[in-house]
Amino acid sequence: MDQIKKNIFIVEDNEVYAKSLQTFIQIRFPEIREIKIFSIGETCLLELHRNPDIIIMDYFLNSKYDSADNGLEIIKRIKTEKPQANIILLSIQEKLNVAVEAIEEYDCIYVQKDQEAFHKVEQFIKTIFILKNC
Amino acid sequence: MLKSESEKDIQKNTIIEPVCDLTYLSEMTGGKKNMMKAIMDVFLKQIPEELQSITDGIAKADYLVIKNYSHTMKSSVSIMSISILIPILKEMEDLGAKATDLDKIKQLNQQLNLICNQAIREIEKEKLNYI
Repeated sequence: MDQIKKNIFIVEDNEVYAKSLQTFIQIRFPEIREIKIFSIGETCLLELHRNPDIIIMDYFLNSKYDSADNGLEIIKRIKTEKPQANIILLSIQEKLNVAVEAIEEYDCIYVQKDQEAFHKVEQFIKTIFILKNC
Repeated sequence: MLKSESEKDIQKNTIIEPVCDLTYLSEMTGGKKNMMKAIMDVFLKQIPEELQSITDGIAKADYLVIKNYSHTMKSSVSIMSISILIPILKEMEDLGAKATDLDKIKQLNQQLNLICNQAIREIEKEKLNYI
Protein backbone atom coordinates (compact mmCIF):
# COMPACT_ATOMS: atom_id res chain seq x y z
CA MET A 1 0.00 0.00 0.00
CA ASP A 2 1.09 3.50 -0.75
CA GLN A 3 2.15 5.13 2.50
CA ILE A 4 0.63 8.50 1.67
CA LYS A 5 -2.82 6.94 1.43
CA LYS A 6 -3.00 5.74 5.03
CA ASN A 7 -6.09 6.90 6.82
CA ILE A 8 -7.68 6.28 10.18
CA PHE A 9 -11.24 6.91 11.35
CA ILE A 10 -11.94 7.76 14.99
CA VAL A 11 -15.54 7.28 16.08
CA GLU A 12 -15.96 8.99 19.45
CA ASP A 13 -18.65 11.33 20.75
CA ASN A 14 -16.44 12.89 23.41
CA GLU A 15 -14.70 15.73 21.60
CA VAL A 16 -11.93 16.17 24.19
CA TYR A 17 -11.01 12.50 24.03
CA ALA A 18 -11.32 12.31 20.24
CA LYS A 19 -9.17 15.41 19.68
CA SER A 20 -6.55 14.13 22.14
CA LEU A 21 -6.36 10.75 20.43
CA GLN A 22 -6.22 12.35 16.98
CA THR A 23 -3.36 14.62 18.10
CA PHE A 24 -1.50 11.71 19.68
CA ILE A 25 -1.74 9.61 16.50
CA GLN A 26 -0.72 12.56 14.31
CA ILE A 27 2.45 12.98 16.35
CA ARG A 28 3.32 9.29 16.51
CA PHE A 29 2.45 8.54 12.86
CA PRO A 30 3.16 11.67 10.81
CA GLU A 31 2.97 9.62 7.60
CA ILE A 32 -0.78 9.07 8.01
CA ARG A 33 -2.57 11.28 5.52
CA GLU A 34 -5.85 11.65 7.33
CA ILE A 35 -7.22 10.96 10.81
CA LYS A 36 -10.90 11.78 10.65
CA ILE A 37 -13.20 12.10 13.66
CA PHE A 38 -16.86 11.05 13.58
CA SER A 39 -19.03 11.87 16.58
CA ILE A 40 -21.58 9.18 15.74
CA GLY A 41 -21.09 5.79 14.14
CA GLU A 42 -23.76 6.24 11.51
CA THR A 43 -21.77 9.02 9.79
CA CYS A 44 -18.68 6.79 9.74
CA LEU A 45 -20.71 4.13 7.91
CA LEU A 46 -21.43 6.64 5.16
CA GLU A 47 -17.69 6.94 4.44
CA LEU A 48 -16.70 3.29 4.65
CA HIS A 49 -16.23 3.25 0.88
CA ARG A 50 -13.02 5.21 1.53
CA ASN A 51 -11.55 2.04 3.05
CA PRO A 52 -9.93 3.33 6.25
CA ASP A 53 -6.88 1.31 7.28
CA ILE A 54 -8.05 1.31 10.88
CA ILE A 55 -11.25 2.33 12.66
CA ILE A 56 -10.88 3.28 16.31
CA MET A 57 -14.25 3.29 17.98
CA ASP A 58 -15.66 4.08 21.39
CA TYR A 59 -18.14 1.55 22.73
CA PHE A 60 -20.47 4.06 24.33
CA LEU A 61 -21.53 6.21 21.39
CA ASN A 62 -24.94 7.27 22.59
CA SER A 63 -24.11 9.36 25.63
CA LYS A 64 -25.06 12.59 23.90
CA TYR A 65 -27.18 11.34 21.03
CA ASP A 66 -29.49 8.82 22.62
CA SER A 67 -30.86 7.62 19.29
CA ALA A 68 -27.35 6.73 18.07
CA ASP A 69 -26.28 3.11 18.02
CA ASN A 70 -23.59 1.93 20.43
CA GLY A 71 -20.17 0.80 19.28
CA LEU A 72 -20.96 -2.90 18.99
CA GLU A 73 -24.00 -2.19 16.81
CA ILE A 74 -21.87 -0.05 14.50
CA ILE A 75 -19.16 -2.73 14.40
CA LYS A 76 -21.72 -5.32 13.28
CA ARG A 77 -22.68 -3.05 10.39
CA ILE A 78 -19.06 -2.28 9.46
CA LYS A 79 -18.16 -5.96 9.45
CA THR A 80 -21.16 -6.78 7.24
CA GLU A 81 -19.98 -4.28 4.67
CA LYS A 82 -16.21 -4.63 5.17
CA PRO A 83 -15.39 -7.98 6.80
CA GLN A 84 -11.65 -7.28 6.71
CA ALA A 85 -11.87 -3.92 8.50
CA ASN A 86 -9.36 -3.43 11.31
CA ILE A 87 -11.25 -2.16 14.33
CA ILE A 88 -9.96 -1.08 17.72
CA LEU A 89 -12.78 -0.80 20.26
CA LEU A 90 -12.26 1.56 23.19
CA SER A 91 -14.32 1.47 26.35
CA ILE A 92 -14.04 2.97 29.79
CA GLN A 93 -16.30 0.31 31.25
CA GLU A 94 -14.95 -2.79 32.85
CA LYS A 95 -17.72 -5.12 31.62
CA LEU A 96 -15.89 -8.17 30.36
CA ASN A 97 -18.75 -9.28 28.12
CA VAL A 98 -18.26 -6.23 25.89
CA ALA A 99 -14.61 -7.11 25.38
CA VAL A 100 -15.36 -10.78 24.79
CA GLU A 101 -18.09 -10.07 22.24
CA ALA A 102 -15.90 -7.55 20.40
CA ILE A 103 -12.96 -9.92 20.25
CA GLU A 104 -14.73 -13.23 19.58
CA GLU A 105 -17.71 -12.23 17.46
CA TYR A 106 -16.25 -9.37 15.47
CA ASP A 107 -12.50 -9.96 15.47
CA CYS A 108 -11.80 -6.57 17.09
CA ILE A 109 -8.99 -5.38 19.28
CA TYR A 110 -10.26 -4.23 22.67
CA VAL A 111 -8.56 -1.45 24.61
CA GLN A 112 -9.81 -0.24 27.97
CA LYS A 113 -9.78 3.54 28.32
CA ASP A 114 -7.18 4.01 31.02
CA GLN A 115 -3.89 5.89 31.28
CA GLU A 116 -2.22 3.30 29.05
CA ALA A 117 -4.91 3.36 26.36
CA PHE A 118 -3.17 5.69 23.90
CA HIS A 119 0.09 3.74 24.09
CA LYS A 120 -1.77 0.48 23.55
CA VAL A 121 -3.51 1.99 20.52
CA GLU A 122 -0.11 3.08 19.20
CA GLN A 123 1.23 -0.46 19.48
CA PHE A 124 -1.82 -1.93 17.74
CA ILE A 125 -1.58 0.61 14.90
CA LYS A 126 2.07 -0.36 14.39
CA THR A 127 1.16 -4.05 14.37
CA ILE A 128 -1.71 -3.58 11.92
CA PHE A 129 0.48 -1.57 9.53
CA ILE A 130 3.18 -4.25 9.69
CA LEU A 131 0.62 -6.97 8.94
CA LYS A 132 -0.79 -4.90 6.07
CA ASN A 133 2.80 -4.44 4.90
CA CYS A 134 2.51 -0.69 4.67
CA MET B 1 -13.72 6.98 59.26
CA LEU B 2 -11.01 9.59 58.80
CA LYS B 3 -11.49 11.82 55.80
CA SER B 4 -8.63 12.84 53.52
CA GLU B 5 -7.65 16.51 53.34
CA SER B 6 -9.13 16.69 49.83
CA GLU B 7 -12.49 15.37 51.03
CA LYS B 8 -12.52 17.87 53.90
CA ASP B 9 -11.71 20.68 51.47
CA ILE B 10 -14.55 19.67 49.17
CA GLN B 11 -16.98 19.67 52.09
CA LYS B 12 -15.84 23.18 52.98
CA ASN B 13 -16.37 24.20 49.34
CA THR B 14 -12.70 25.03 49.05
CA ILE B 15 -9.93 23.16 47.30
CA ILE B 16 -6.42 24.20 48.09
CA GLU B 17 -4.42 21.80 45.98
CA PRO B 18 -4.41 21.81 42.16
CA VAL B 19 -6.89 19.31 40.74
CA CYS B 20 -5.37 19.00 37.24
CA ASP B 21 -2.15 17.27 36.34
CA LEU B 22 -1.14 18.15 32.79
CA THR B 23 1.77 15.69 32.68
CA TYR B 24 -0.31 13.15 30.75
CA LEU B 25 -1.54 15.73 28.23
CA SER B 26 2.00 16.97 27.74
CA GLU B 27 3.26 13.45 27.18
CA MET B 28 0.45 12.61 24.74
CA THR B 29 1.13 15.73 22.66
CA GLY B 30 4.91 15.44 22.78
CA GLY B 31 4.95 18.69 24.79
CA LYS B 32 3.80 20.67 21.75
CA LYS B 33 2.17 23.71 23.31
CA ASN B 34 -0.04 24.60 20.34
CA MET B 35 -1.54 21.10 20.44
CA MET B 36 -1.98 21.18 24.21
CA LYS B 37 -3.71 24.53 23.89
CA ALA B 38 -6.03 23.21 21.17
CA ILE B 39 -7.13 20.34 23.43
CA MET B 40 -7.49 22.69 26.40
CA ASP B 41 -9.78 24.90 24.28
CA VAL B 42 -12.02 21.93 23.51
CA PHE B 43 -12.03 20.97 27.20
CA LEU B 44 -12.95 24.52 28.27
CA LYS B 45 -15.86 24.53 25.82
CA GLN B 46 -17.07 21.01 26.53
CA ILE B 47 -16.98 20.78 30.32
CA PRO B 48 -19.47 23.60 31.02
CA GLU B 49 -21.84 22.01 28.49
CA GLU B 50 -21.56 18.62 30.18
CA LEU B 51 -22.08 20.15 33.63
CA GLN B 52 -25.17 21.97 32.39
CA SER B 53 -26.56 18.77 30.89
CA ILE B 54 -26.16 16.95 34.20
CA THR B 55 -27.74 19.83 36.13
CA ASP B 56 -30.65 19.88 33.67
CA GLY B 57 -30.95 16.10 34.04
CA ILE B 58 -31.14 16.46 37.82
CA ALA B 59 -33.78 19.20 37.55
CA LYS B 60 -35.92 16.86 35.42
CA ALA B 61 -35.01 13.72 37.42
CA ASP B 62 -33.81 12.31 34.10
CA TYR B 63 -31.58 9.50 35.35
CA LEU B 64 -30.58 8.39 31.86
CA VAL B 65 -29.09 11.82 31.12
CA ILE B 66 -27.32 11.82 34.50
CA LYS B 67 -25.88 8.35 33.84
CA ASN B 68 -24.80 9.09 30.26
CA TYR B 69 -23.13 12.42 30.95
CA SER B 70 -21.44 11.17 34.12
CA HIS B 71 -20.06 8.34 32.03
CA THR B 72 -18.73 10.47 29.20
CA MET B 73 -17.25 13.04 31.61
CA LYS B 74 -14.92 10.32 32.92
CA SER B 75 -13.22 10.38 29.51
CA SER B 76 -13.10 14.20 29.42
CA VAL B 77 -11.50 14.58 32.84
CA SER B 78 -9.08 11.68 32.31
CA ILE B 79 -7.21 13.71 29.68
CA MET B 80 -6.45 16.41 32.26
CA SER B 81 -5.81 13.72 34.92
CA ILE B 82 -8.43 15.15 37.28
CA SER B 83 -8.35 11.90 39.24
CA ILE B 84 -10.28 13.31 42.21
CA LEU B 85 -13.38 13.37 39.97
CA ILE B 86 -13.36 9.74 38.88
CA PRO B 87 -14.99 8.24 42.01
CA ILE B 88 -17.55 11.08 42.09
CA LEU B 89 -18.50 10.53 38.45
CA LYS B 90 -18.57 6.77 38.90
CA GLU B 91 -20.97 7.08 41.84
CA MET B 92 -23.19 9.48 39.88
CA GLU B 93 -23.20 7.08 36.94
CA ASP B 94 -24.09 4.13 39.17
CA LEU B 95 -26.92 6.02 40.89
CA GLY B 96 -28.15 7.20 37.49
CA ALA B 97 -28.13 3.62 36.21
CA LYS B 98 -30.14 2.52 39.25
CA ALA B 99 -32.44 5.56 38.93
CA THR B 100 -32.23 6.21 42.63
CA ASP B 101 -31.19 8.70 45.35
CA LEU B 102 -31.53 12.04 43.59
CA ASP B 103 -30.50 13.86 46.79
CA LYS B 104 -27.14 12.06 46.80
CA ILE B 105 -26.73 12.84 43.10
CA LYS B 106 -27.37 16.53 43.83
CA GLN B 107 -24.74 16.46 46.55
CA LEU B 108 -22.23 14.80 44.24
CA ASN B 109 -23.08 17.29 41.52
CA GLN B 110 -22.15 20.16 43.84
CA GLN B 111 -18.72 18.58 44.35
CA LEU B 112 -18.43 17.95 40.62
CA ASN B 113 -19.16 21.59 39.80
CA LEU B 114 -16.80 22.88 42.47
CA ILE B 115 -13.91 20.77 41.23
CA CYS B 116 -14.62 21.38 37.54
CA ASN B 117 -14.75 25.13 38.10
CA GLN B 118 -11.37 24.96 39.80
CA ALA B 119 -10.04 22.83 36.92
CA ILE B 120 -11.30 25.40 34.43
CA ARG B 121 -9.54 28.18 36.34
CA GLU B 122 -6.29 26.17 36.45
CA ILE B 123 -6.40 25.43 32.72
CA GLU B 124 -7.27 29.01 31.78
CA LYS B 125 -4.30 30.17 33.84
CA GLU B 126 -2.01 27.54 32.31
CA LYS B 127 -3.08 28.54 28.82
CA LEU B 128 -1.66 32.01 29.37
CA ASN B 129 1.79 30.41 29.23
CA TYR B 130 1.11 29.01 25.77
CA ILE B 131 0.32 32.23 23.89
